[in-house]
Amino acid sequence: MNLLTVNRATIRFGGLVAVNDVSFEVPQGRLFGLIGPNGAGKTTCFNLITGIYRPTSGDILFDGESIVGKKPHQIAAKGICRTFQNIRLFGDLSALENVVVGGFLRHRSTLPEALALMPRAIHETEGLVEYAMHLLDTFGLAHEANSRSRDLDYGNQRRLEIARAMATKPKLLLLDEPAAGMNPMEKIGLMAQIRRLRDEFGQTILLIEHDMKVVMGVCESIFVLDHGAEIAHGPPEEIRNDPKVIEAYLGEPV
Amino acid sequence: MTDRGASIKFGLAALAVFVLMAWVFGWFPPMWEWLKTRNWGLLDQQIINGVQLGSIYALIALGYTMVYGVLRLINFAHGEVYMVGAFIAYYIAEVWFEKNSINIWLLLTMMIFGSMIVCAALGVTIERIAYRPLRNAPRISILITAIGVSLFLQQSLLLVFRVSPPPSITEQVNPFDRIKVDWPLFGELTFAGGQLAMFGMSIVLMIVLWWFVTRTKTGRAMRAVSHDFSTAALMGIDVNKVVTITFIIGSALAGAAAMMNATALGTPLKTDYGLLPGVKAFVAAVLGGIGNIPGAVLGGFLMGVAELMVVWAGYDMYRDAVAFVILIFVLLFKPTGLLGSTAVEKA
Amino acid sequence: MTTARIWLVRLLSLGAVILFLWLLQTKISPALGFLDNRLIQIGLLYATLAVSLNLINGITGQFSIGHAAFYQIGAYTSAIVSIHYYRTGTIEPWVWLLLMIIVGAVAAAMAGFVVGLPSLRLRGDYLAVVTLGFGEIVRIIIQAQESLGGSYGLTVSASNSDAPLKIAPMWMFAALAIFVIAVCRNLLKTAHGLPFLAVREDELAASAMGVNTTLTKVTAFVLGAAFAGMAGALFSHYEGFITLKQFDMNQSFLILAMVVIGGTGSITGAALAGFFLYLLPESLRDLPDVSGYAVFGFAISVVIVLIVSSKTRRYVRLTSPGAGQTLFMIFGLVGVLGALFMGFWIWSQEVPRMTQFSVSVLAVGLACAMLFTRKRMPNLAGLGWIVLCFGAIIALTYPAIQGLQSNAFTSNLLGEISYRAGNLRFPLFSATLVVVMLTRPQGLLGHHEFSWDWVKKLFGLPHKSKELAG
Ligand SMILES: Nc1ncnc2c1ncn2[C@@H]1O[C@H](COP(=O)(O)OP(=O)(O)O)[C@@H](O)[C@H]1O
Ligand SMILES: [Mg+2]
Repeated sequence: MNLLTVNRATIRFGGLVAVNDVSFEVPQGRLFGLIGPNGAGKTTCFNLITGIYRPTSGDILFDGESIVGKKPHQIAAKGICRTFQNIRLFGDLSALENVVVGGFLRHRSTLPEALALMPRAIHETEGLVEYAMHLLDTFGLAHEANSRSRDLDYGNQRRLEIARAMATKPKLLLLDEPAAGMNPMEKIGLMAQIRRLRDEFGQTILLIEHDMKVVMGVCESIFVLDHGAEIAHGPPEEIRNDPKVIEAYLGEPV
Repeated sequence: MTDRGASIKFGLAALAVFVLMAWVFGWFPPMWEWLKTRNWGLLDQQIINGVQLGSIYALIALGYTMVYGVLRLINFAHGEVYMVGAFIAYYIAEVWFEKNSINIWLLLTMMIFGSMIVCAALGVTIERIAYRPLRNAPRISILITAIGVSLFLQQSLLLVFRVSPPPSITEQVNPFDRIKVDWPLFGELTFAGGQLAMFGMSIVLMIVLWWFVTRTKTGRAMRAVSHDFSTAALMGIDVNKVVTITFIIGSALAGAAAMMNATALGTPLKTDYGLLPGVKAFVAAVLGGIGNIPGAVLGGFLMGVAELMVVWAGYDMYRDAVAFVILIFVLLFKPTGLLGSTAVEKA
Repeated sequence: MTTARIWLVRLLSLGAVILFLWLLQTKISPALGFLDNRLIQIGLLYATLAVSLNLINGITGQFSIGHAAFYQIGAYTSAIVSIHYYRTGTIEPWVWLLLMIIVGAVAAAMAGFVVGLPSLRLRGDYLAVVTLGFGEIVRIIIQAQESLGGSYGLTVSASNSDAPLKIAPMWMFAALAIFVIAVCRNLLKTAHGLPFLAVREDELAASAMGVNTTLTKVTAFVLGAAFAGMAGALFSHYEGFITLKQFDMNQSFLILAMVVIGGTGSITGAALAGFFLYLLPESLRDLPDVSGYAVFGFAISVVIVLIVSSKTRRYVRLTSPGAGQTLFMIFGLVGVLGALFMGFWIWSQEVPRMTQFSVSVLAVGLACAMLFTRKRMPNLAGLGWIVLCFGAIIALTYPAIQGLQSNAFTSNLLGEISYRAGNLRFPLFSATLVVVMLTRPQGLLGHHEFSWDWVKKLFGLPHKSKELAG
């Protein structure tokens, strides 16, 4: 069963076709890699899936249902959550609060209840905080729970973004270059963590990564974009030896 | 994230609903009656007056748009700069008229250049003291500072300038109003000489500005900065100099507009003299597409005409509201303005 | 926290509030003069307004600068309803007033909804101008309406009498302020407040995390407007007469300044700033008139000192221990003593109690903050720098005045002029706003709430760290 189906999605910005007739499927429980050189249209793909942009043409199905035209928050509620390439944490909020925002998506108490500080709202908040602490712990951030997220160091900010996205309990997690700017050691640690998410929680993950080596190590299938269009698609071994991919990455024929 | 297609659809839907309602509730016959009772003969005259008023708005709007272009800042204090310009013109006229029976043309020249120079100095001072230290601060901080500066000028100059009774520039300095031009071709059209002169002078200033921006090195630097501030800085453009020049030009234009308007119309001056023209000119800048120089001119003229159309329709007391209604509609349906380019937030 | 305990706390705090209101109404208020009562009441009203704007502006980050319009709509709507439907002697006045507060809240909430809609598509400065424009439209419409008194103003009266209706008791002002503060605090106390904060921090990221940004922003506008409408209804039934001038753009800016100076996003900051920033300038009214020479002499010396100090500031190290710091600490101590002396001095003057109170509280607060906090040394030295500048300003003012008087041109210009101290409020206020933005853009309390833990931390006492749910 495919969790996500992108069907001939295309988006134009003025004259520029940022994503051109792209189709792929992400099966349930898979760690799926989306790679390509800078400016290939990977982030734009994420923006299409999460409803930030609307495709000029084509369709995107999630859980067998079209999500084109839905608002980002509706899509998040359906179970797709993402991180951002250029970190977009809620800077002035604490790490804990950042994660609680993610968890708040599944709240049940109503706003009037909260304004009147009814027991249900309080208990729910306590539950959310507890869950968020648990998540922070999983990502090794528990000791930073009360620091302003802006003050965290870079690697922790990246991890916090993943924790925040995980707090929405997504069926599909989209990670946009989560290892960007990390040193090789950190990258290895992070990839191990991402792998664990998949293995322990059965999390389906769509991963954008610039660094080929990293992706090859963790992903089961890889989709390669260049200039907005597909150039290859398959398991890591095939991709590694694909002449078109080598050309796109090195910028010259082999 | 604004979706133009959705805007247009929404606009059409709103229009359709309105027409339907008007039809169902029988609003069309009274509307027709209303239209028939308007004084159509005055329409062309009012449009011409509107264009003249619009030239003032356009000049002020240019200051807003240029500053917004380079700094992405609504310079709320711009209206106050305009106000100061009017007062300076008044004081110059007050000191030199009558007493020394000065040549009227010399006096007018002194007034306009005096206003322009003082306004330019004021604009640069504001930028240096209030805006420059905050250039990397959140935009909201700068905006609040701008509001603070505007309030401060308004309130503290209340203590400095002569305000009660509100002074006005005497008619005698305005040689043009003795000229009344009738245009026999169109029957009743008349042009007040003062307003005609004001219009002509505005056009001259706009042409000079256009020449400056497109043909000089500094003007090109200004456009580069307004296209991309940080890249321009990296390319070795002296950004501070460009910002200073922008404030000089914008404020001087406001000063010229203030002098011309105060002289041509002889309106009583108070320290909130710049408030409404300022806000209206800002709306004009948004209407034309903020950051866009021809847009500001177009927006200014449209704004002037729209305002006097409301007056013509018999709703004199709502003439100040029309700017805001236009603003809200522009922002809802075409936030980038008539000539502005689209800018989308990148994720 | 168990449910039983929540209810227990709730009952106890409700009891405490009622007790406080009762004391205020029956013991404190009668003991104060008319002017003191008025100062407290309007001060509380401004606290309410500032807190309500803070919800939109500080917490949700929607830059609204036409807040007086909501205040105005609440005031006028409730006034009109009273004029048409209230008959003296039929209903207890305070019950009717409660109804009117609800009417004002509903009317303003609807306006808030309408203004909130553009906020869906606009951000930052564009939204600011739309809200400003909205305020102006409301003013223009009311001005054009003769049934609303136009620019003359509207007398709020009962339908069976012409006398102005002044039925707002002291406790109502306090109750409204407490209510609004409590609601905002509750919002932030539960996870329901987080979407609002998230929208402020990063709208796009918030929506990607499942926050319905549309709903959140409109809710903030509706709630904030409703609170302002309540304040408006209370105001119109307090004054008995309302005019456009009480709700103009300057009023909006005043409320905005309170929020910003108090610290955008901080409920307590807004409330305190609203209260004290109303009280302090108001107390200027009691001062004698000031001559034009003094005002301009002062202004000139301020400019000179500011320029000189901004050029020399970087040569003095105040934050690290050393001779400079020690020297300026002494100045700082002098400043603290001066402030305390000022507090005592005011206490002995014939001014309203509230003025004495607020000045003394500020003086003692300053002294405590300076002498007992953890970063005492640099803070004192910093204060010393300010005191030195202040001293220099005062020292320069005298020669500046002399100069102005001896110069023929300026003495001709300024000779006759003197200003009422009350008129100096707005220039001072706006200058403060600019200075605060330039020196501490996040406002005095920043995004923080006032809390005893925060105070304890400041003073270096043992404290527990901040937690979301208590
Ligand atoms: N909102 C937008 N408007 C115009 N062009 C855009 C927009 N978003 C992305 N693009 C363009 O689309 C292309 C793909 O960008 P992106 O998806 O960010 O690449 P990457 O693969 O590095 O993530 C780039 O050329 C970029 O400039
Ligand atoms: Mg990218």
